[in-house]
Amino acid sequence: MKVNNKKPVCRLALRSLLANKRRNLIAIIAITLTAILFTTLFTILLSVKSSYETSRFRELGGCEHGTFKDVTDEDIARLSTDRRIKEWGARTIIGVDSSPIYKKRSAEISYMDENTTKWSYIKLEEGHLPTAKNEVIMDSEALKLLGIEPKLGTEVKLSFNILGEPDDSAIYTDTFVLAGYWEFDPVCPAHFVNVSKEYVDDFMKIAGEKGYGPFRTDMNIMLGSSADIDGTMAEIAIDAGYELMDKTADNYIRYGVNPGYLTVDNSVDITSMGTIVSILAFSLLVGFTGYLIIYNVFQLSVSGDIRFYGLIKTIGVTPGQLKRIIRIQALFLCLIGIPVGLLAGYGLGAGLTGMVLKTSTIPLKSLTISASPIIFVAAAAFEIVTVLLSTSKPGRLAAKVSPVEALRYTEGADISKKKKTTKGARVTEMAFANMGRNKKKTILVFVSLALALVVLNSVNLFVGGFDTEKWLESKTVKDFVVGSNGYFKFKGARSLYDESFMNDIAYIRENVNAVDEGKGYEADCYTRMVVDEDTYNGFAEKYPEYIDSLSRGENGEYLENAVVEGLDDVLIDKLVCYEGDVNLLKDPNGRYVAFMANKDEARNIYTDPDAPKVGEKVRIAYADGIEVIDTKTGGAYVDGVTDANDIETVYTEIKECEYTVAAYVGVPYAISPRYGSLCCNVVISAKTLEGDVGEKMIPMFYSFDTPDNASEDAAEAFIKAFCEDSSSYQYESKAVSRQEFNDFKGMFLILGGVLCGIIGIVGVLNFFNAVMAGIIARKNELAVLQAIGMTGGQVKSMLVTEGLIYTVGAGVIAFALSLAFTPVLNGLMSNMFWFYSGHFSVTPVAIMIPVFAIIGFAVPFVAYKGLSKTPVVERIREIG
Amino acid sequence: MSILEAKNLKKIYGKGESTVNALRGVNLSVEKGEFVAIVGTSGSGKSTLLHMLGGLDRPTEGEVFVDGKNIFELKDEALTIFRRRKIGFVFQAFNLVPVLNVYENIVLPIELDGEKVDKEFIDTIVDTLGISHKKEALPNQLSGGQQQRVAIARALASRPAIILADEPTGNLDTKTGQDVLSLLKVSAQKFSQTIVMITHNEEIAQLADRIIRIEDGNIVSEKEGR
Repeated sequence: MKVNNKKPVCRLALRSLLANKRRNLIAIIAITLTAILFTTLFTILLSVKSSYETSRFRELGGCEHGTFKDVTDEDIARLSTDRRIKEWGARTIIGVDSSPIYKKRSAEISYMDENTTKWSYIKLEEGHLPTAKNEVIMDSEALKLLGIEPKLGTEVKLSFNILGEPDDSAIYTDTFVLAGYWEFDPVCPAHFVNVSKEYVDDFMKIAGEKGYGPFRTDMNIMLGSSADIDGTMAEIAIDAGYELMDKTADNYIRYGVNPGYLTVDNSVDITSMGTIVSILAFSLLVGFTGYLIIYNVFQLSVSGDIRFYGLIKTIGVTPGQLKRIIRIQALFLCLIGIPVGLLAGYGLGAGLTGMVLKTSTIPLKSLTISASPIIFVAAAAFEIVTVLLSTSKPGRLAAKVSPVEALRYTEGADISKKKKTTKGARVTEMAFANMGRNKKKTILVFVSLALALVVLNSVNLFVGGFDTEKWLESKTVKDFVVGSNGYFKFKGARSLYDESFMNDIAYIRENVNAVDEGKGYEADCYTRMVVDEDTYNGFAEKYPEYIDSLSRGENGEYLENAVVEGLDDVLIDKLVCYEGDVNLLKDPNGRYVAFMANKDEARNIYTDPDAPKVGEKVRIAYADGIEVIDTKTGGAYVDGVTDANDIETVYTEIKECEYTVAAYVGVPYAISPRYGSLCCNVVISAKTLEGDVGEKMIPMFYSFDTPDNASEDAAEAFIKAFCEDSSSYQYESKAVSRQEFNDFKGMFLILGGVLCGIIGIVGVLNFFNAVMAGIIARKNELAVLQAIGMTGGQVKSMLVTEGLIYTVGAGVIAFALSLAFTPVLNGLMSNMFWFYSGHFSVTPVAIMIPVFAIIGFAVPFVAYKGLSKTPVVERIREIG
Repeated sequence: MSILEAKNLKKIYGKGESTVNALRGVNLSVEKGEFVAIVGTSGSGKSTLLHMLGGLDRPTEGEVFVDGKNIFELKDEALTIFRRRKIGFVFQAFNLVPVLNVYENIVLPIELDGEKVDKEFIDTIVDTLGISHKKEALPNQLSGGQQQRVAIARALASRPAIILADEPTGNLDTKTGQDVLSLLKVSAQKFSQTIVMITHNEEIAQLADRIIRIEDGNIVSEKEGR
């Protein structure tokens, strides 16, 4: 039978809830704190993810979900009616300026509507979007390259190639007025030069009459969500009556998904195993901390209210209803605590994300605080689960209460052990005895107080163990490493190479006091290792996911990708030799290479059983030409005709060189090529490389040391300014690495500090709650003690003694635990972090013990003061 | 036909050496409409007996039948529901819910059952007990006598077959005690309910139809009241 008794149960729950203000306050604080922790965690996670995406989108030039390519106005009208498309924007490109001033990235002359402008991260510093026919907007760098001051109304003369016409004959020149500009983003793939719609329309008409064109308009779209963009776009196209497969059909349409939404990078992929485990571990710690306090608050309040529960049970409240009463109370407290926690946690998380980003490879400029509802939903859900778990046991306790016993209940009434004593009742003895009444409660308070101290000590130990010098020793081989963007972006020196690099190195040398200089080089051509057919096929079978790194030469050679790094002798000295003789590389007449191996593979340096051994010969192919062919026809690949499976890359103009494997070596990260092939990463002397490829040898990086601190500081300042001035270079230095490492340490210190702080607050709250509950539950008893002759002072000192036992006891326990676990923790950390130096410190606990003593004294003292205001007689008379 | 029947009730508290035999095999039968007083000194087991009769506590041995139903066959949840429908309690310490006002206290058992409150009936009870002007007051704003009258009203409100009263006059002065008890008796007759009352006060006990004396967990005598 289902009875409708929600109303009286709710009324009982809420009324008795309101009657217990102290408990509510503590419980709400606890719920809020836990919610803050959960929300902060989720905010940081999702914000790091969205920041990573932003940095990807900036590199790709836009954050739209996808693009319908080469569409007409009618196509746009037809597609844009689809409800799945939340927003859309169009862009029409009419020309490209690839004149020498734009050699790093070309300038695209186009019309972008408002949405596309927004999605391309164009935020005007000044001015407005082009509206009048001759208005133009562009970025600060593009203006600088043209030699134009960023001042609104300035005349801008542009010459550009009409789209699709690379010939000089198709260069078009026109004069515009600068209507706005924005700050250049160095990772953007092109300079956007945006003109008005009117200009583009007129231009296309005139150019079309001259036989140019057709020009291309793309329709960028945003869907409701980024899940399955590919599928949704296909459905949209098909539903609108378009053909996706048959390229010759009249209604054929092409579309593309923004790769930023497709790429999964392990470093920020929040679904990767390691990340999930650490999120879970942290959530568990947070959940446990929250559980500890919320459980404690409710447990104590249940024992305080046990008479009340017995009472309402005699009237006819069933055990089930009782549990519901407690649950309703908990959820009601959540109603206040969770929203506050969500807001505060979101703010805290947003603040901390910047700090986390600083220690990652994601540029701070891409900082994007996620506003995903997942943050709030997940945090609230975790919080509610924690609260329900924490209240279920107190609820069961209340439900189990026998109404008759509850009416007579006093805390710890069933003392079975009776000690014989002749000392009588002394205050301290009574204090100890009182703590033994409810062992569970006492232990809970001890644990939550001690936990805060142990965590504090561990965080201090952990962060203190991060050894900056150890880190620097390994991370930096030279004081300074200056390299191209491509090098530092793990793409090798060839991509984003600036031809003036050699001149710029000379310029740097003039301005810094450099010693022990050394350069790393690469050949500006395709480098491949020649293997025999069996190795080639074996490789294809073993690593099907790396099939792309296999290719053929024009004469049928079997090739696999290779990375060849040329190093000056001074840098060859920095290599760690695992096997063979690395010094052979330095032989001016020798033809040697050294294979790179990872440090942790020192015991098993051959990454692959087929890899060449020391003393064997290897052949490296330096290829200048590349042809993409259709294996069916044997001819060149034709876009749109050749099946994807039949495309093959063939290298031509190959020069083959033979070398002997001199050694297997470890290359310190700072001077490594920073990208690699699967099996063939080799180091070669710069001289040998130059001999083999001649002028094609280009520098990857230039590194040097400085003789003293003064010249190091001067060089740091100079290089910093130099790299900021030129968008082609980046650098690493000891100073920067030290700063990075300190940021990294700082992040742990702050995150750990926040955690300690919260656990500490929870511990003290628990203690406060325990003391208050103890005093209130014993109100009658204390009054009776006073009535039979215990002075107020004696009662006070009994309570203070109890408080001190809790806090100082917890401090001592924490001290002992910290002493015992420091060696274990040190061992664990040293294994996990190579830059960790074990050390010994219990200072934080030692410092905190007196603080705890003060708390242990003050809380009961103040609590008793409040109590003693009520006259003894009245307290004796009060019931329950 | 007896509305309330106890068969061989035994209750032992504690374990091992320090056990207390609170009840040593009590047999008792109460007729419908009867007013029974149980008297005895403190520690005689009279409160324990009443708790067993009302299903507030489970006996070590023996059975209790209310309206022919063996109540200890029921699980806790079902027992509570059975109790709040069949039995009204009045305690020495009144046991009003401090956070609810007088009216809410009185109708609580009915509402807990999900029943509709018969306002007219409640008004009749409240009038009979002379507390109609205190309906909005909270328990701590009432005198002891008033509080006990509210407790009686609560016990009557769900029209239980049986009212169990544990020293209902214990916290009241003699005059108020007698007033309250007369009210209890009058109302019970008016609504044809059975009363089992515990008291150590002989004078109060005299108001009952039957007086049962209990000592050391055994019924030692039974006699008619005045």
